[in-house]
Amino acid sequence: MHIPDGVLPTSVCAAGYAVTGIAVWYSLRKLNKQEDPRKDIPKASLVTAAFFVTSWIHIPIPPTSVHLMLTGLLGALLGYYAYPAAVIALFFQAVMFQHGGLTTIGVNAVILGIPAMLCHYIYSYGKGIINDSKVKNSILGLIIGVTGTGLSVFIWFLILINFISANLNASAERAAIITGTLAHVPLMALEGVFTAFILVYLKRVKPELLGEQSNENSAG
Amino acid sequence: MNKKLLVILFTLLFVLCFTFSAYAHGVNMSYQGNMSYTIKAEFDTGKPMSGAQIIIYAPDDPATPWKKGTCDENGQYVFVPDTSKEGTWLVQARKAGHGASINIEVGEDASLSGGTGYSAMQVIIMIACVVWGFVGTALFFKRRKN
Repeated sequence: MHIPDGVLPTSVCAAGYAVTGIAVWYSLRKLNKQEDPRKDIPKASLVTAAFFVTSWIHIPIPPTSVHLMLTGLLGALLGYYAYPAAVIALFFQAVMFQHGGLTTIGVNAVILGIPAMLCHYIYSYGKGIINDSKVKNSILGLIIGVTGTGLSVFIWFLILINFISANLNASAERAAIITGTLAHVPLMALEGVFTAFILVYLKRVKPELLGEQSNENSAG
Repeated sequence: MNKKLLVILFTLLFVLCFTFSAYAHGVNMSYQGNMSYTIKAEFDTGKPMSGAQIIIYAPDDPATPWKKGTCDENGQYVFVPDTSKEGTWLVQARKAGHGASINIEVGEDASLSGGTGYSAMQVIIMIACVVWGFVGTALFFKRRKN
């Protein structure tokens, strides 16, 4: 799910940086309006670490392999910290392990950050209309997990399928992209279950981590 | 230290430990050669990048592909460079948005083998360093608040 250097044309990379710049500016602006913008930095830092590490957890889904993305969880836990967190994690992944690339950080941040922001809105709205029911919270977590990963895969697919390099055999690359996309469908279900489990667990043992106060502030 | 923060740190550590036995999803490339060069492209899992498209650029024209090809089922591709074109040859492997590039020196500075990627121990140390940076950041701001 990390697009490396040299795959996309310069214009797309530049557009990715532009969108990411606007999204990070918007996120920081929202955070700055909170009563204590630094309050959630410890949580954001630890979740970013988990997000960074999960790109190394490989799940074999023949004929290819996928890794956890945690897009939905990122949005639900971090709110407006999610997009900057994605940018920071992608930077370290690109610089240290060549997962993704420096020129594609903007595009990769769009792929992960926009769905995370959407999941933040879904979670903020969803938790306002459900009670403490374990089942309802599980369903909300499932929706967030599936939506986050599904939207990320969809954006990834749209970008790759529309900007296949002229130096590649287009039909072979197109077939490989479609195969790779279909391989992520089981991951969507897995992420949904995983997100539901984590959210229900956190709701039980440490509900403050779900940031009700910060979400209320950020919604304003 | 806050007990609940400790729980989170242990959870993070568990994920990290799980990672030690798991694999990544990047792409590594290596080559061996003399007169002909055997390129090998594989995912970090060790799974061959079968069917990956190979694009080779000669030193005299880094914008136009010198040759194109496809890896076999073992992720391997063999090519014979034009030895009259001394310098750095660029070989790219691409498949479904994944890929890597490797430089091959041909001529006086030629090397018989080379590759990208890190050993498992290097990866573990690098991940641990980055994670410790994040944990340190969290602890710093936690302390500041208190």
